[in-house]
Amino acid sequence: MRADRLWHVALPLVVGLVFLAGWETLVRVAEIPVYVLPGPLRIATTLVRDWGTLTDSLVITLEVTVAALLAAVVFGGGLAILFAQSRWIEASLFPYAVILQVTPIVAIAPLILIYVRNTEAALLICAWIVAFFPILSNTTMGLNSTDPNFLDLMRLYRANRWQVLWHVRLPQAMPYFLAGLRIAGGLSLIGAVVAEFTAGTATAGTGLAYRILESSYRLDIPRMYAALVLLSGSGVLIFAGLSLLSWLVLRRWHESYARRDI
Amino acid sequence: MSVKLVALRHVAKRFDNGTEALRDLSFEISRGSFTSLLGPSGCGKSTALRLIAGLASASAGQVEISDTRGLSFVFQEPALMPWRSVAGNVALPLTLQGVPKAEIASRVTAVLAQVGLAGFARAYPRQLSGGMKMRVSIARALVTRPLLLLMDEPFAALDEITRAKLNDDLLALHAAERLTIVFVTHSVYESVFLSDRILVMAPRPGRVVADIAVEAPAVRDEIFRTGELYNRQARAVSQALREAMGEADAR
Repeated sequence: MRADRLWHVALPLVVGLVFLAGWETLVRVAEIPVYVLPGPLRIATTLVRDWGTLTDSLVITLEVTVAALLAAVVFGGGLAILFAQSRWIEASLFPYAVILQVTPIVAIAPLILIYVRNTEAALLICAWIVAFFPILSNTTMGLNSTDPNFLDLMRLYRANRWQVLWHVRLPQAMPYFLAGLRIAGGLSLIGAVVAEFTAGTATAGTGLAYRILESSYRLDIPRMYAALVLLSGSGVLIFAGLSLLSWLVLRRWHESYARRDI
Repeated sequence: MSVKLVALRHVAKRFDNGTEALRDLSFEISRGSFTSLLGPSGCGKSTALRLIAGLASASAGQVEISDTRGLSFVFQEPALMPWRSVAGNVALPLTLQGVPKAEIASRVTAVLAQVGLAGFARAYPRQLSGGMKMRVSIARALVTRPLLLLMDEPFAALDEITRAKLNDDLLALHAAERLTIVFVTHSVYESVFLSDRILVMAPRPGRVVADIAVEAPAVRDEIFRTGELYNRQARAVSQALREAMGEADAR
């Protein structure tokens, strides 16, 4: 068991190191110019050199990401609870949520940037549009997949609608919501970056996506890679954080965290 | 004489899809009795139980309960909420009634001890065996101190040994609490061992075809379970059930 776990950590690390070493060797041996493909060492030194500027930009991007995720939780979750109250509300609104979801955000973003004066608010709206749907659809599904026995029990106890929601529907929806949240975390980062790219050309943004654009205009390819490393690192951290949250909430009762030995 | 607690009068139940689940079903349940509704699958015995519980309404006829204060239902599945601990599951009906917290705690502790789960208050349902889950389910039904306990094939999914143990414990609870129990089962042996009266039901449409009083010693134990008295009655009930089935097949 323990050796098995060690391999799970060691194998991807080895693969990564081999890949990076191969990349570095290729760049050096073939003498590929740095404006075409910089080696990993060059990217690392750029990351260290520009750390201050890049992390300042990262904070701005993450602020939009986190705000969008929180808004997605509030509005996605809230809308799902509203849907659970009445099939009619769900039937009349759900198609529009789908339309909002399937329309590519890159296509909507320029419009939002025209109508919303405050750039940060516009970025937030873009990221929110991408992030809220998985939370809405997952939570709706969770709220509707109630064990009929529990509903019978609540009827016998003469529980009111809110007691049923609080004691049965919400806990039952929790695993679905958390699964949606993990997807939404990554999506809100993507949404924030896409919105920044769109806004970057229109206004003077300072987020990490704007840094990537700026570096590409200057042909500062190592810095583009360094910003990319920070972005994907943040994405991984967001996913890990939300997975941890999910584990903390569900570990005691949900099957997905059941250990075989009990 | 016995005081009646439940009365069904000419009850019929037809589902929305047209299935006639019950036709002209009439019987009374007296206070303190242990009655089994015995019949093959699809004879409407569970439906009858749900009508008594008020979980479904009759298409015709009346379901009367003379004292609606305490009615508890035990489902075929334990139906425990996996996100609540054992104590949390048992406490739920009291929490919903707004019983003070201190009283909930003491009543939950007492009822868990009664069903033999004293050390498991903080465990979660997924950590328990099937038999233990069913005990929690029974504890949850008892914590409200019901007069009437309705049980829908509660032990059907359990192994023989666990089932026998739970049968013994249920009899002890019935004697100690002066509960009125209506017990739905498709097992002849379980119904003879547990109840003082068996209503044999026939399917399509569901109705009572035999009303059998069970003769038993004051203490129903292993000696009763393996004795001549028990076997004779089990044979008689089996015969009644076969006739009910034959009647249904002839239709």
